Amino acid sequence: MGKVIATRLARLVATLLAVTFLTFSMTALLPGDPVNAILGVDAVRDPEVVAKIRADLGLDDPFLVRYVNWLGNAATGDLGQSYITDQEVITTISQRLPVTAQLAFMAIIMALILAIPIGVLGAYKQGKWQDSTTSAGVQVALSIPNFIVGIFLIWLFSVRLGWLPASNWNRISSDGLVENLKTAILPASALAMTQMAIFSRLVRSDMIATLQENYILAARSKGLSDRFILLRHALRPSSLSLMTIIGINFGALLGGTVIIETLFAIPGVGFRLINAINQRDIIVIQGITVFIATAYVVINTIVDLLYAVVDPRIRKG
Amino acid sequence: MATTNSSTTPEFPRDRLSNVSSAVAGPTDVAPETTNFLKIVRAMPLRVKMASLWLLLVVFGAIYAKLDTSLFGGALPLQDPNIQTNGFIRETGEFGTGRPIEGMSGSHWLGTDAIARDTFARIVHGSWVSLIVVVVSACCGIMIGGFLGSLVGFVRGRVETIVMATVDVILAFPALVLLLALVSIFEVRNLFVISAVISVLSIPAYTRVARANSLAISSREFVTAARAIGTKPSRILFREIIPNVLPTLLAYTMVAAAYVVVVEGSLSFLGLSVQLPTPTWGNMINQARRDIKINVAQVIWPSLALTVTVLSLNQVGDFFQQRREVRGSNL
Amino acid sequence: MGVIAMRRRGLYRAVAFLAAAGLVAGACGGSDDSAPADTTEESSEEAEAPAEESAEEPAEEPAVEAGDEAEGDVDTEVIEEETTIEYGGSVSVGLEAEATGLRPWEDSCSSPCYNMMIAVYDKLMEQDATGAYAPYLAESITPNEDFTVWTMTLRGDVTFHNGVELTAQTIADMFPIQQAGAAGSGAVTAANLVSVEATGDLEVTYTLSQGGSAFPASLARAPIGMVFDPAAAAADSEGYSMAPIGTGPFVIDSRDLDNETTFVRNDSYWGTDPDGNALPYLDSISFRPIPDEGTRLDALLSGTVNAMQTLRQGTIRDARAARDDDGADITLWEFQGNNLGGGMYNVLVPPFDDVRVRRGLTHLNSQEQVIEALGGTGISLPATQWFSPDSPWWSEKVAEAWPQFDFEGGVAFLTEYINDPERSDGKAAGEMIDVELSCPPDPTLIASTQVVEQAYTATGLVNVTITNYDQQTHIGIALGGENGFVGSHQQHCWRWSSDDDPAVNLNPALAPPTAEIAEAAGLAGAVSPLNFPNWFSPTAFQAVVAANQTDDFETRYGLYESIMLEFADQVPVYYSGHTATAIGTDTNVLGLNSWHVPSGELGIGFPSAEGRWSEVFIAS
Repeated sequence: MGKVIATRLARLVATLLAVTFLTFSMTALLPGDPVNAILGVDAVRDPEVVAKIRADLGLDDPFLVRYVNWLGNAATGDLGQSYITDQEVITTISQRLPVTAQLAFMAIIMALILAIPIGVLGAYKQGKWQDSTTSAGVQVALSIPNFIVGIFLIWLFSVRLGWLPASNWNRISSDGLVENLKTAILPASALAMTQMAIFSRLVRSDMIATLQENYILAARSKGLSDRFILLRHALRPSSLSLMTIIGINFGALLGGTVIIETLFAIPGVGFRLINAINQRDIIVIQGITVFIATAYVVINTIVDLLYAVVDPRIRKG
Repeated sequence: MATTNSSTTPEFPRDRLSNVSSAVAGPTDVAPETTNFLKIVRAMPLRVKMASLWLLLVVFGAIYAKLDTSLFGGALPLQDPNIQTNGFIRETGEFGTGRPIEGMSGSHWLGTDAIARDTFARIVHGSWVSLIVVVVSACCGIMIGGFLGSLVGFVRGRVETIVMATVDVILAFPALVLLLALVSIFEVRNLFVISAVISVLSIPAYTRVARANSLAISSREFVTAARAIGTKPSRILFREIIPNVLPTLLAYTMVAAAYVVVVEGSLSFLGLSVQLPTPTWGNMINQARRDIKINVAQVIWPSLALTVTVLSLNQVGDFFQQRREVRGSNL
Repeated sequence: MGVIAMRRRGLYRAVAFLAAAGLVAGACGGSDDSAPADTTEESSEEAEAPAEESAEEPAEEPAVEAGDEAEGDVDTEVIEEETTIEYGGSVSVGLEAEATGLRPWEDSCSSPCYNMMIAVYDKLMEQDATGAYAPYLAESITPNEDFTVWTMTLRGDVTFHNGVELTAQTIADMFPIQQAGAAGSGAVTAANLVSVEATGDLEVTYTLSQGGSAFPASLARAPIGMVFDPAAAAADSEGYSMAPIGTGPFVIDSRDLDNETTFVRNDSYWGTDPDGNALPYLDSISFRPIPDEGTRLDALLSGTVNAMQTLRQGTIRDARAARDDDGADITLWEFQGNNLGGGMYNVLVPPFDDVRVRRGLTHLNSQEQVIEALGGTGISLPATQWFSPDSPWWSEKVAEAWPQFDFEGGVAFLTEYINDPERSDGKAAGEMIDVELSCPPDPTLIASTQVVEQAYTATGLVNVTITNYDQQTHIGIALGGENGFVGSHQQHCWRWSSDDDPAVNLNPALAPPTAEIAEAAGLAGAVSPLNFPNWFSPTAFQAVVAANQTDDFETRYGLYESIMLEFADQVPVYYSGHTATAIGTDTNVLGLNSWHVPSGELGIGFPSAEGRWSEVFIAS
């Protein structure tokens, strides 16, 4: 067990190093002088400003030295500061992360609430019309890009029905949970659609496999009700794979909210990334990219470890 | 690992990758069958037939539209996607009177957009960008990723470790975020840049698929036999390994294509793909959503085109992967 | 003696500053992107508009049917409120964008951020309803003989939100920070300001390197006109952006970037209304960026916010429809600004060096159709000069001289050029001319370029390529740099003019674009990279210089009119429509049009959708 953890952690560190190196080199090896890219049109050749930025970025050092320095700063939470707003990148992220995390979390919860019954139904009625209908629905849900889902949710619930706001964000801290949910429900739903499809496919196929296992057949022969068997015995093994996929998707959602946050003008990490891209704010782009990638890698590792803890086969191995 | 068909989330469909290794079919068993075109079509369920038909239509439309503008100077029967139909008329010396946002009619099958451009023409022309991005990324994926993967799966050793470590790192990024970061570096974003960036990001996934297959094939009797009789390794690679990896890669291409179409659509939607006024489905949706209150139809048409294409690619991709029995069980 | 003898250091800063002011926000149309500028010169008739008109008056002005030749259909009147004022309540304003920061000396600021800054900061000068510059936080300002030294007396007993007292030394200490600031340095350079000294407890002396009769205009804009606490700013510039400290009517309460910024009443504000009531009336005001135009209007209609600003004619059209057709209870405070959309030709690049090409292309530009494509018919007025018909600087003569849409006329000019064996682009006689028409990738701008493109193509004489680069790149292309600021643009979308004094916009635009041209004209050193069309005329240049040396309106009017006439003749620039802007509010939000300068005169109102919120109140 300890060995498993040690290998995973070693791999995590290696991956993180590589990921940060890639991000750093991507923005540091920009064509032309990075100072130009940072400054854009204004003050490009203002010697004082250029000198300050060169010093800040240590541009006169060799590339590897710059990377190590940057990594050292990043490790202590210093991802640099925006040259447009002067705000520390880490401050920007910490202000916005709760919003993005809430969206991702809500999306997963909503997806699970829908996916489990759909998946169970599909497995239980395998091959029957209930199965083929839900499967077709799931196929379609998988194929609609989330921004299209978002647009039509806005159209229906904001434009046509006027029930929910089409943009903005109310914080729980200042506006309370109800107001917060009003602004969160549509974007979270848009994100949940794809997740729901992925989860329900997983639950269905998992359960089909489980239902053929001997202990289920045994339970059936004991005369236990179908519902009891489904929920007590059949669903449980699926939870393991569900957990894995949720872990993977939670990390992915952190990045995937970019489009949805932009569509709904929600002050999350992704919206900030798009703004930074439009403003050519290289430091912020770099910082957010590295942050999301790190979060993604770390979450995946945690899931792997949990998996190892829970699944006896791996534990033994 | 579990099924992550994430064709609509910004992740490469990794599940398909990880499954491949566990269930590579014997290449010699399948190869003759795949060559029989009619047999394949007959084996398709109806939905896959319809999906294929749609994809053929899209490809035809894209090529037709491109020929129209580049070769025939707009002489073929399809309206100019950038001409405002209420625009200037030389003969009368006046501007036309057409209103922007017309409904469906004989002259505008899907109506016109907010500035009176023919929506049908724009959708047909918009498919060109999707097609190019898909084709270029598939070619790069198969040629570079496919070759690399086949190679390292065959020769193993240190090369394999290095290549696969690189691949793992790139796949460790949430793909859309990496893509955005890369795209943001370029000042001018044209079709070449967008295709190139998406292609580069496609390569790792293809490499993984190819390696998994190459590994499995390398351990088969005919390869061992070839080695035993002293066939040159390069000959084995090109004569035995790659030809047998290729069909699986082609089946994977469909699934990857679905993802690539969504990614390009997302970039366009964010205004970070090819520059306007070149129509793409994503930028059409983005423009039309400003007027969603007045005319939701103009959002629906490009959304439908995009969704149906992705759905079709998924259907066809699933079909071919199942045929190659590459999917195996889900766990 | 150059008007713009800019130090190299200031050049790019100045571009950034102008970009912030919206002047170079490349936009073809009448109402897109950031609209700049403070104040419009109200014509005197309008300024004296009857005080007894009710507050809802603008809302009741019938919307002009689309297609009408509209004049004066945008209400810019400022009037005295009849309704009794009430204290309390709060206003939530939907803005088109988040402010990148709230530091006047540093952050590029256009309409949305002005709305916020004006709540926290006071400006030294403001424009009153007659368009004249009136002291605001200053008590008086007087120039010397040649307008190189300005002596300003500050209002006494004013304190910042942090309790620090405002003195002449404060203003003097602000100067180095402004000089170093991204926005401030450009403004300092443009105003030729060289020193600011405290010459008394409340007396400040400004020294300029060249006489500038329009200097007070600079004190009415954020970069050098808004007063901040220099000690706090120097200590923590970044913190200042999130928690600005001014002397203004509201105090920052919370700032949640991209979401909501809230200000609460400054209980010790120095300002009062003419009846002596303490200002402001509101308890609090909050601002929410809602980037999508439709969503922002919906937010107002559904009550999520009770005010919103827009710089887009399409939104004004939709808001009018909601008010008139659907009976929505909203007031639209509309303003027709001097700022205008359009573009320019790079006259140093063939074939645009030939006036026949410029005239020909301009004749092919249907302003009416471009405005229609922008959704501004009946809202934006076609522009013929850098002043809207409401402006005292507007000239009938120029309006008549401007080349109107004339297809055959345009064809004639182009044909003449094309058949000229000596044509400047080096092509054989009879060949089509190549034009690259570039606009930022805004959908409405693309619509308008396509209107232009169609007319060009229909002539069979012009080979048009349309390109769309994002705003920063667009500006960079026009600025150039490698080739001595000539730029590589051809026909380039751009915005012109603002509601500031004409000198502010025309001074940099007419100086020699390159060192060679300056030298040839005997003006060595007077190079301005901000002359984007690269068009230089000694007569126009002398006119702006002369206008800086006098404060006599008639003389200056004549000089600026002569420049506009030369534009109409030589067409280095072309126009579409004037920018109509609006603030929409619930009908019970009153007072936007009836705030006062301290002398008791009515203020300028709400130009460029920049609301002054100190005298706004909510009627029950």
